Amino acid sequence: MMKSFILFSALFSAPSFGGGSAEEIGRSADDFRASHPALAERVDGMSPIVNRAGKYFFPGSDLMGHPAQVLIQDRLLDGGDPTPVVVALAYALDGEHRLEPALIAGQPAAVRAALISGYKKHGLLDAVQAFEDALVDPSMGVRLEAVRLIGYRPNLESPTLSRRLLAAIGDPQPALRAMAARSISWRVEAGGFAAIVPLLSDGSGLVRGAAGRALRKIDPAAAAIHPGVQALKADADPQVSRAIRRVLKP
Amino acid sequence: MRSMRYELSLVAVLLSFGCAEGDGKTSLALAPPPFGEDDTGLVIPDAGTSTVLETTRGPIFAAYLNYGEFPGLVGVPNLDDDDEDGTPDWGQAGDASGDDDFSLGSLVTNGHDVTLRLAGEGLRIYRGGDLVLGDGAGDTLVVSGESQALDLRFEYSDFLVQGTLSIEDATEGESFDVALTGSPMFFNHHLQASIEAMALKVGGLGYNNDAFVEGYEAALGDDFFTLNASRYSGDVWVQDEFEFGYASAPDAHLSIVFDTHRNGQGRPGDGLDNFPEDAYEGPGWLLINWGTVTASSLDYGGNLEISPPVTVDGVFYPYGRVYYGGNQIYQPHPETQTAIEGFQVQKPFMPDSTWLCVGHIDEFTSTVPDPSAPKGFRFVISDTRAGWDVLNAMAPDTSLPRYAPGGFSGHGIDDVAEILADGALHALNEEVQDIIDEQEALFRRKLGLTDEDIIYMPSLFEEIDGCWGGKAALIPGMANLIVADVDGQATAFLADPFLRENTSDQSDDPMIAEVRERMPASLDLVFLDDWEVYHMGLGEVHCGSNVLRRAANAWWEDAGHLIAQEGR
Repeated sequence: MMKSFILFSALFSAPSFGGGSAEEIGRSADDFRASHPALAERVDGMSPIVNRAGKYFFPGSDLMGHPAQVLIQDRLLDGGDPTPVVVALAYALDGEHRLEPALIAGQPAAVRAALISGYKKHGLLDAVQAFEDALVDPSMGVRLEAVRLIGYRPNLESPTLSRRLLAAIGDPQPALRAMAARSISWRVEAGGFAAIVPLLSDGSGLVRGAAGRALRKIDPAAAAIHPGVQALKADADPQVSRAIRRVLKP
Repeated sequence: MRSMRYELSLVAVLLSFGCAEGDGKTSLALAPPPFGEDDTGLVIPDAGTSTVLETTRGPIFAAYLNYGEFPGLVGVPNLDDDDEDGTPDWGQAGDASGDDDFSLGSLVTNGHDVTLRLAGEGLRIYRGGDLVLGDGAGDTLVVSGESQALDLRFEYSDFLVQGTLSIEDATEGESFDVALTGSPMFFNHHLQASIEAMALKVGGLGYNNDAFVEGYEAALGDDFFTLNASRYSGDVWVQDEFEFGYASAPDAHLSIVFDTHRNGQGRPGDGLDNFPEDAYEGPGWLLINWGTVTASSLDYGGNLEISPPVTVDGVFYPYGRVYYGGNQIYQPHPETQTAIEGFQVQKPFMPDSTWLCVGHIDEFTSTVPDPSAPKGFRFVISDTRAGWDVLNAMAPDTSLPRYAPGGFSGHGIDDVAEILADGALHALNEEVQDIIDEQEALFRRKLGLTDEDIIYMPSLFEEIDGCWGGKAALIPGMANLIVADVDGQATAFLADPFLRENTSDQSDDPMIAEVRERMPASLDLVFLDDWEVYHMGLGEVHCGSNVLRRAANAWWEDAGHLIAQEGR
């Protein structure tokens, strides 16, 4: 059922305007520089401003059209900007202008983490590929972002993707284990409940809380009576007690 | 220098108390013989031939000590720089030209032999222009045969500095003590009248905050001003850079800026870092901060808020309570917390705001004035259940053009149905609501709130990509609001939620209609377009604005019970 949905969606979903290789994007951008010189000047010369979290961003609805998006892709791939600016350029791309997995792979870790957000809502076969790659990325930051974002894509299915997501439960980083539990539950991965149960006794309160909440998402009735959950009723960590209250809520 | 009007009003207040200026010194005009009732209804007896210390509040003598009892004769810390020579006035021991930060007294001795003894550090007493007691002088002054009143000026080195002036009249065989107390620092809350509001006007190729600024200007007129974008590098987060406060006394007032270590989210001099100095540094103003020059987001002004007056467990906090977000391991500067706790009058507490990407307490809580409310205000807190209620009542096919773009222009959401069908968003907001519920319970305990005190602001949150799971408002955060007075009318300025098809028609927005229903009828609401620069930049109206307010009440009359008396 899910596979036929993917096939159907792949045929009829919005295409990526990634444009393929960097060279192809470069050629498209050059065309737009000729046909939209003012816009090209705007994109090529724009400086980011700082958002409230201290990260760069590029405001402006004029950046949303196809020509502007291609110009942003080109500036991103050009490599002339400092990494924080390139990260902001990556987030300035809409999902339809996500970069192809092969182009993501060549970027610095911070940029790779940003670029996979293009697959949060968009893409199918290319999205599967992007997440499969990101889930085993050497950078913890990229893996964490991939584990988090894959939770938003329950319609993406592949054995490799599921296996890699379930394996993230054993990651040394607590934040990653916690996020893995959440994404498994949001996607209702087969075997997810049993895979998450060991996290109820994790050394990190963040992980124990996330595990309890994830079990509830998968099977509320089973979670509420699970001995591991019951054992956490006296857990003093606020991240755990908050989650367990929710799990035990009738 | 901003706020000239404010300073003039302070001069008027001082003059109304009977002060006269001259050579930078002030003296208290002699009051008529003390008779009648004081401001608490106590009968003031006839002083007869007793030695009397006349103060702005009233007389103090052996048979009548009401105004001498703690906190007694209060003053503001003389830490500003009235002569603008680069040295705080306290460091100049009375020689700063134009220094007007003294408390005033006039000692009537009737020619008796009188001894004054000052106990306590960080205090000075001047007779006319001469330092006679305290830091830089001795601790005892003997006067004899003085037929004229002695004009005395009292100087305080710091917040909450305490001491005692003992006055012994050997001729009369009487003695009495006068407590001396420096003002604490107060942070402003939303029930205090506004003086002026401000935001940075920004614009570049393809973007601007014109609608935001024009909305303010249309409502507030000359009571609103804009900061220059090029001077401050387009740093629009005016709330975060600094926080207004004050210290006060019957004879003096000190305006204060808590100039945070945010430093424009960079190094000293970046962004808005120099704005407090440019706009407010000068006579009558003190710029202050605590701790090392480093800051996390939790040290920014948006993460420091103040409730209106509350009574909690039988303790009255007439100036409200400070609250800042944090958790067990991620908190504002310890030095900042220690300083605020040290002021004692607005006892702080710390809800958890660390689940947010930016992490500021103003992202999901606020207060608004409401004269019809039991406490005179309502506590506003974000509520995702109310947010879903509004969305569930809307036609699913309602398109949301403001939300539709991706990138930094929107949320990539085409219509209401897309929000309602998003299982991940439901799960995420359920988790968020659990956290908010816990924080609401904390606010109830710490502010003594009950059901009727609370307004639930319809809200939805989303995860911010690149923020490691940190959240921010999906529907523009309307709890992140500003309260200011428009021709005396309390007005809330809050984000336009744009939950409608026709973005230019607010009357067509069911969220706005719902918020109007929930907010106090006495409060005017102005929904500002903060989408492009603020909302998409992870902030809202409060984050991008700041408001200078008038000082509230007289702490020496109603907050003494909150201040620990030294030696007691």
